[in-house]
Amino acid sequence: MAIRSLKTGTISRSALAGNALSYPGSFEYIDSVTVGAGGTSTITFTSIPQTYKHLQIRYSGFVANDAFMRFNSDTGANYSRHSLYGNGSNGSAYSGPNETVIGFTYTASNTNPGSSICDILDYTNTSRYKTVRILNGDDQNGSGIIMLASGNWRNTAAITSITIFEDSGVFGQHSSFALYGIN
Amino acid sequence: MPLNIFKIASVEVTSPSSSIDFTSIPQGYTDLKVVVSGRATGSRAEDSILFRFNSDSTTANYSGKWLRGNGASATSGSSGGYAGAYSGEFNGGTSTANTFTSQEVYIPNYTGGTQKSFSIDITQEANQTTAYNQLQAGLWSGTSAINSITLVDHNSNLFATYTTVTLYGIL
Repeated sequence: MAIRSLKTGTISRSALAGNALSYPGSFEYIDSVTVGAGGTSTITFTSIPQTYKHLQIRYSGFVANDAFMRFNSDTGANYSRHSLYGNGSNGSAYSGPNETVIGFTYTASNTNPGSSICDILDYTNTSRYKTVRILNGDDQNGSGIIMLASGNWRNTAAITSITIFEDSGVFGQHSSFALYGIN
Repeated sequence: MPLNIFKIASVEVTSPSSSIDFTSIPQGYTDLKVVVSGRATGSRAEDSILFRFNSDSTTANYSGKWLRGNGASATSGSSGGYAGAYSGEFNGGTSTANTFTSQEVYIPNYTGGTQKSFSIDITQEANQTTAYNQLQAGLWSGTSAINSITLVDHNSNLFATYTTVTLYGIL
């Protein structure tokens, strides 16, 4: 059986043909949601394990309006958010101090999916506020958006739940959200 | 073999520190990724940090292009003339309390025998109108394999307590 050295990263030569290689990587699946028929306005990850260093959410989906994110069910004006975005013609920026949400994805469409990768670093650290970094985009073969966004939750509590929601519609069927823990 | 990410080393600052170092980096991965959750000390709201490869602090060996939003507008420019790879805005000592910049540096083919390109995503958040989101493309002209990475503050401030930096190897 081939073995990868965690110290050097090199692979030893397999002594037994056909054996699968097994690596204890740092990127682990926690949970996922795939939206069914009729759509849903809200996705929530609860009871998030506190054993990782960082979290990542990967999203691909359909949404007719902007969607947002909150932590630990906090609906207060305890968030700030900013973004850099382009629409194929112009580059722009957004500023949002003292808001009640963090931006998760801009409007895509109900036909062509958009996607996001959202990183939440040090989510269990109780000495710091929580900063979010999101790379998001969609292309509608005409319109579209590419965006790098940030958010900050002004609370030192460890993140135990994440709510992602569309405030005036639903995420369409087949939209998918996956939560990963990173060591 | 499936793509996977392996933690090589992690540093958490327990008292303000002038540099963060990763040495003797294993050479068996394909790419490297550095994830930074950090803040600087000092009297600036927006600071910046530099990455140095193999202890190289020669200004002429680093260059880059950036695209940046400051909450009001989007701008683009070139970065050069720094004694390391410039990695955009970084929460400084007078920025919103307890708020840390989130950065990811991706270095493909770090053991290759050519110059090293890399990309950086940076989000410097603050509860105010001005905060920065930046995309950076960089180049280090060294052709040696990368065996060490050093982070320093561009303005000679210190990395604040609770700053964390993690180095990952990617297959």
